[in-house]
Amino acid sequence: MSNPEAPSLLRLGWTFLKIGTFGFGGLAANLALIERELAERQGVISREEILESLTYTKLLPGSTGIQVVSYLGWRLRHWPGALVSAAAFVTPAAAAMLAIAALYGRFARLPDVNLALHGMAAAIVGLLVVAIWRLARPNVVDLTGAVLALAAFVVGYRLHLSSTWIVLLGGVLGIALELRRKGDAR
Amino acid sequence: MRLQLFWRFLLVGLLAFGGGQAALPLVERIAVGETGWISPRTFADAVAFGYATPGPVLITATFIGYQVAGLVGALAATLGVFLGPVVLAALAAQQVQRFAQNRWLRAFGRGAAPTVVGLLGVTLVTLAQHTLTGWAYLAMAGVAAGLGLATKVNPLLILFGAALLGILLGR
Repeated sequence: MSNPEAPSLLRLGWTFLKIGTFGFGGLAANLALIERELAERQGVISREEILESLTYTKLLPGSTGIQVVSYLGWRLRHWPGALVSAAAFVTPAAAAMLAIAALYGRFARLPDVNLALHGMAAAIVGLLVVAIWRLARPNVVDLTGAVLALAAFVVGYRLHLSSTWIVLLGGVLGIALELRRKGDAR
Repeated sequence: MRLQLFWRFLLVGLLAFGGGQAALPLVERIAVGETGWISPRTFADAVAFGYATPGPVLITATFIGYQVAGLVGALAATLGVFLGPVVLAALAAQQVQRFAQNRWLRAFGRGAAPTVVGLLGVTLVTLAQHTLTGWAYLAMAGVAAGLGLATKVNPLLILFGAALLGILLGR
């Protein structure tokens, strides 16, 4: 079953067209915008589902941002939702890149563009803090979760271990804990 | 050539474990090293454009496709690089929903979800180090966080304002 409250395909496409237009700075900005638009404003996707989409797409190859969009699109409107969402999301970037490719070599560097992007990136840092805070609350609910989050941060930041392995290790640890719990119950 | 663009980028998408950025060396191998489609210098520019445009950095494929075979080449490369991951992600959504009540999948999720929060922390710190290069930028990040937490201001408006401020600051 699709979500009964799911937005129409048109609305979904429009939403991701907007997010795709302003998603400068990769995953960070996209995630902040998705959380704000779909969880906070429209209320059609829960924060657990957003983190779930990140969890499983990080295990798959490919650009995580567009995969989160495809995953959530499927949740809302199955295959048409996934394809429309992903296509709408990537259209602004592809159009911008086409324009750049067509003009490549013909224009000098545009310093103002870099300045604007730097300002935007600063704001994205702030918005990402908000998004992480909102996504963490329903998903990191006990000490085990907090320790796992901290451990993932340290391992990812200091050891540069690939995110695929970190998520996989976390999941295996979750299963190990469940096995132990099962043993206790007996 | 268009077919080759499509399947070579399809392969890049399917081998991009660890996200789009992790696949950039692979793009370099196929577009510069193996085929000589573009020069190393053009590749560096393409990656810079990939970061400067919204959305995924692998949109670099659109640029490379255009340089190799025009508009149709751009479409072939773009479709190739995103098709596999998009279909895989939708399949994952389908399977996760199907086994949503499965005890082991739930246990996996309980362990894996917090690590994703930790990894977002890594993204945040890395981004902050590259971006918050002065007090003014730090203040902008603070204001954006405050607005995001305490008000219902549209974040697109915040980003737009920050872009304008960035230009003013740099002058």
